[in-house]
Amino acid sequence: MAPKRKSTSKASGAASKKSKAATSASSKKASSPRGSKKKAGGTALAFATYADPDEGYVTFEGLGKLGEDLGIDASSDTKLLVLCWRLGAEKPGCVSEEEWAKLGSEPSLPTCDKPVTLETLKAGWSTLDPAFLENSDFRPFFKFCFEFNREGTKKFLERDTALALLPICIEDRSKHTKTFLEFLETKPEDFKINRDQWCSFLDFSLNVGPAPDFLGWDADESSWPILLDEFVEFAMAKK
Amino acid sequence: MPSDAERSMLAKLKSECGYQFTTKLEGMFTDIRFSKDAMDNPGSEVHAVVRPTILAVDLDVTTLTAGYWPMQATNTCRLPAAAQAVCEPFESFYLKQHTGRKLTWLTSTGSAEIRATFSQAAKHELTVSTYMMCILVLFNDLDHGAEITFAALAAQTQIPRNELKRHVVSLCTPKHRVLLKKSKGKGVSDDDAFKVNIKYSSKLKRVRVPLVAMKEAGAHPDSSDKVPAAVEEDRRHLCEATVVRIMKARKHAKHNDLIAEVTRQLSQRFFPQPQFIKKCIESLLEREYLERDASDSKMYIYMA
Repeated sequence: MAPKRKSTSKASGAASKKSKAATSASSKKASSPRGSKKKAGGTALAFATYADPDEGYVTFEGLGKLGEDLGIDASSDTKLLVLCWRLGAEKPGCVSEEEWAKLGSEPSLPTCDKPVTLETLKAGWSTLDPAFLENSDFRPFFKFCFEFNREGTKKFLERDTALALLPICIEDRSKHTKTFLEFLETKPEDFKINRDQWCSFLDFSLNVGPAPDFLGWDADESSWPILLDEFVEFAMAKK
Repeated sequence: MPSDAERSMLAKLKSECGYQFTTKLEGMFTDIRFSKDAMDNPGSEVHAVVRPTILAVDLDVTTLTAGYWPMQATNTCRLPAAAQAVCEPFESFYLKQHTGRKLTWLTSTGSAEIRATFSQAAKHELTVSTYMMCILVLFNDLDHGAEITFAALAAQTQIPRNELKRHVVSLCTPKHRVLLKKSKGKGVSDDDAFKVNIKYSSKLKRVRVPLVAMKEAGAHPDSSDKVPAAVEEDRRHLCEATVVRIMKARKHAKHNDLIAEVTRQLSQRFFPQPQFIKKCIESLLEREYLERDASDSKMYIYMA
């Protein structure tokens, strides 16, 4: 998850340290009255286990806990984002009960038509790797990364959120990531990146050749956001 | 004389906006009518003054009332002696008729027809601006083929420098190369020298030498960079409104088409830079008035 959420990153930081202990912690929770029933074959992934009772949603905190239980680093594992995307999470940073229920019905998930347990999810976790996505599927996922990580009603990502989120989302699909991150670093701290800029970066990466030539780039007729015009300028000046 | 269309337009404006609104326009028409009547009527007194048979120059004066016309009185340049000789009798005649008035010659406007002999074979009648006439007549006093520098032109004609530059360059264009400029290129420096192009020729006997438009001669060459913030803000709103209007009609448009259309529609008011329009489009994208086509990032879609 985006490390910007302080609580999440703390939780996941802890998770990596005591990932072994996580299983016992979760089984303890499973026995709690509000928790899930223990099924034969593993720990059920009950909504109530991860949801924030006050919010009625699984929030970043709950996802951090899921990461703990799965033994992954929630702040850097893109597969967790893929999971939320597959669940069709609509509200930024939240998974509703209805969406959570798709764990058992969404065909692309390892838990589909199988017992919805931590163990099943863990066993099929690697199938969620975004590297498996075709570009045509990756595009909506990449957009989802923006939507899911923005704050509630705000329509942008803070610079630092973008700096942390971009490399884990786009991975090696872009040849421009490294330079683009350097470019973002030069922007003031309160700089924001909006949806169009975010989505355009992917299209830009897929359509424009690597620096310093930027093959396919047309400065005069560029319809890319100005941010990307500036980026090319930055990259060219660097050379 | 105002044409019927002009007259009816004026009547409509008068009934629509009131008497005050059209006084100046009516004054302009009256000025033109009086001047034309006086000049064209061979029986009028003024006609005898401006069309004297003994002088080599005919004068046609349009007398305008200063308050009615949007003209700034610029410094009067020094007219050639022959032209001065006809202007003076008119001036004294006019001032005698209308005591208490002041008469200023607007040498920055007007035109002149001059007979020019480039060689025995090439004699032409040139229609030029008043300033051009002043420049050309100076060459009459020089030796055949002699040069005159820009600085000397400025000193002798007393035409404002940037205006002089524009008029003298108009005489050196490839199409109407009446004068030859010593240096190459477009610029004119102080010690640039000019001489008459004795090889000048044209198919036409009467040649109209048009005035070139000079961008850098503008009063504020980089004014577009330094618009006040409030104006910039207004322009942004106008630009966004234009984008929305176009997109509302078309539903979708290619980036370049949209830029071109916005530029076209706004060009009467100001010249928007493509970057400026792009900024407006981006702001509209952010506020979800528009979105990019998922399959073509150069295509925008209007979101109702």
